Amino acid sequence: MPRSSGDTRRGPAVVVWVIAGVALALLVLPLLAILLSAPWAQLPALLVEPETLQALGLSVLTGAISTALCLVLGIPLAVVLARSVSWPVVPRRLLRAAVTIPLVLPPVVGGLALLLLLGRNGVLGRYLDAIGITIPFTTGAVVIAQTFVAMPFLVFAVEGALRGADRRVELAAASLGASPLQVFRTVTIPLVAPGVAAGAVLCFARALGEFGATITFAGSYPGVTRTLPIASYLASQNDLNQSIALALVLLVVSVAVLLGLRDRWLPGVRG
Amino acid sequence: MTVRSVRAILIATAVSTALGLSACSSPTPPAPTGTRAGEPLTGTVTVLAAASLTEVYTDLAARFEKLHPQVTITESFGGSSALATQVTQGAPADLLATANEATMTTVTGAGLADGTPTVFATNVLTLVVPPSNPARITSVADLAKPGVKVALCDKTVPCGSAALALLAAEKVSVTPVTLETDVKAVLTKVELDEVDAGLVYVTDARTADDKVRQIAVPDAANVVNRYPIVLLSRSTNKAAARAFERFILSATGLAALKKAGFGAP
Amino acid sequence: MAAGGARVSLVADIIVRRGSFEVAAALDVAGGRPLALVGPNGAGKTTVLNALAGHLPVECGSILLGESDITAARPEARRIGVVFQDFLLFPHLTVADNVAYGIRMRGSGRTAVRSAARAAALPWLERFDLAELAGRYPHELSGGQAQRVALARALAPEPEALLLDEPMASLDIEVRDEVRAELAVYLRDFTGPTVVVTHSAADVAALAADVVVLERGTVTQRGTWAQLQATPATPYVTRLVGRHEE
Repeated sequence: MPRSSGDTRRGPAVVVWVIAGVALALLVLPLLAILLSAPWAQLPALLVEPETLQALGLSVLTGAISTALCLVLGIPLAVVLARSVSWPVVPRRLLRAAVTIPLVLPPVVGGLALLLLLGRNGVLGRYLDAIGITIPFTTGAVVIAQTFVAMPFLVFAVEGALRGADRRVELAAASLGASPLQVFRTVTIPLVAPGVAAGAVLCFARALGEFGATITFAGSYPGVTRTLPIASYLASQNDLNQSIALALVLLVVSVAVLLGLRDRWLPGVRG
Repeated sequence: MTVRSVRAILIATAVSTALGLSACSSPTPPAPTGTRAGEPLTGTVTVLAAASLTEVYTDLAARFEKLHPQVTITESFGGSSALATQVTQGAPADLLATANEATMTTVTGAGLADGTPTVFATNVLTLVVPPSNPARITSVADLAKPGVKVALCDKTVPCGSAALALLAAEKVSVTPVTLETDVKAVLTKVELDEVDAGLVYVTDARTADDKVRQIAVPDAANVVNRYPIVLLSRSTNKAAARAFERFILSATGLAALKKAGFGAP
Repeated sequence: MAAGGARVSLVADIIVRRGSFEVAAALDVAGGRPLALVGPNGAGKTTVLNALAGHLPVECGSILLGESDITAARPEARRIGVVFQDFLLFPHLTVADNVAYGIRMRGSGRTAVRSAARAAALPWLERFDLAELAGRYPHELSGGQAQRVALARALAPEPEALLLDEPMASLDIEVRDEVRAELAVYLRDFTGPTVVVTHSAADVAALAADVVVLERGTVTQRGTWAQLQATPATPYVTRLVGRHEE
């Protein structure tokens, strides 16, 4: 196979740079457009409007809870997934496919599926309803919808970290007297912590931006289920300025999370 | 239009097509329609229409395409405010039909309409409940009972503002569990029996058939949504677009709208 | 725990299976007389070591450490320190915490606190000349330094036996002689039974008192290095002793 026109000493060829530039533009220019179109003068007033603050508070709260839930449920799943390499082909593939479902399912379909499962006439929901537990139209439903769509991000990030780490240090830990649980706590977890942190960030960002599953399953009511993306969408229909303001808030929160977590990684850990 | 005149139009169209007159659809043709012999209509017509018009407009589009085989009608349905915003943001469309006049003014006010909008139908709200009527709703007043789950459209959407007006007229104070982005979403929640009741258009209740049960609201006739349609100034196929608009406003179109439950304009 | 003064022995007579490969080895290692387990690559030396450490199950036979039968014991229950071929230091812990790890894990009631363990590890850091490196992380160490940390870490919890897997393999050739000499001193100070797995004649000569030769899963010769040099039993051993000057 012929090598491409760039060799490792000179770096990638010009063509590669150009295409990369286009890709970067695609990602960055829409954000610039928001920043340029933002109604900067009215922004302070728009931001303190009750609808804005309600939506922001709700989004951050549910996003945080969903991320925590993803961590608690997703790390063990990632451990199982990482170990599944030694399983026979069919169960291994089925497990991976199951974890990937929320990634390939359109969010609205996901929301509908949750409704059909946990709605008051749902497959499981009807039993919950009988004992007085209703899930749709509650903030809990928002958390469930967000957890559903964001879980794969965390699971795959942690699985990657588990696979990448040199697990043989666990043997060393055992030879020093650590029980399997102690190994997990003192060696495995710290080794994969950077990967887990990255997964949690992705998870939070995805949960924050979730729209289709939330509105289909949880509905849209200010203060209860109307998250920032939903509020922004509704606002875009008659008050574009408010819509942009809400979008800006989403943008800022996402960037803040991204920057804030970056420094939390353990010192000295490779990569 | 009688059946005979429809047939006359069909023959005229066939004749003109047979004469092999190529129709390059120029952007601003002086002659308004192609139903006159000598200029068959071609091209695509993009129609943005309120969600409540989904079934009726889809049907009318199919019929129009049969009359003018070289025309393709593409339709996009959604909340009227979202559609109006799309137009003001530059979406390439030929016709816009909204569920109330207020939404239309955002477009006409921005100077994006070619001519004045024509009201082609009216719609009123009705109360729908799941077939089993789990909360035993008999009237709008029951919506205020504690524990009753009501779905409404958000006030930014025409059916939402109509719902608020109706509830105010009935002097009923309701706390809904959800404020949806378009009327079809409200209907779906009622069909799935996830809410106890919803306020939708009578036309929606009709399309839902026996998936929901309809409860008449006495004052509903006082809260009327008037549906305007307008040709957009940025349209690139005004000939065909005007023809379709005319078709909707024709006896055939109005009959279809009436059959779907819309009121006369 | 060994009674004061008495030397513990490691006696193993085992068959270990790894896939389709079977290794049979019988070892009797006395405290204070390090045993070199030599053989060509693929002979099964690491397999035996892993079985002794508890990472591989024994097909049949037994392993006795002192008077305890540890054949079925889990790795964390055996009091055997291991120095792995590429050291396997904990990348997220400092040198001090690495060395303190075993002390922490074996702390009374398993409630040993990090700081207490670190304090207990201090003499070990000094013994292995690591006091100045206490705050460094493994990726900041040279090969020789890392080996000392690995050794200190294995010895700090005061195990009853010590296993070393190819101790020089991860080091640059230039430093091997010097480090090997240091290692010989440390091993002489350790009173428990020591097994050094290696394929290097220089290692055997410097570190071991007794030698067991393993070829293709079976023991082909035992004795002291002098005895092997005098009467090599197989072509491999002949080559091994002849290449002593490498």
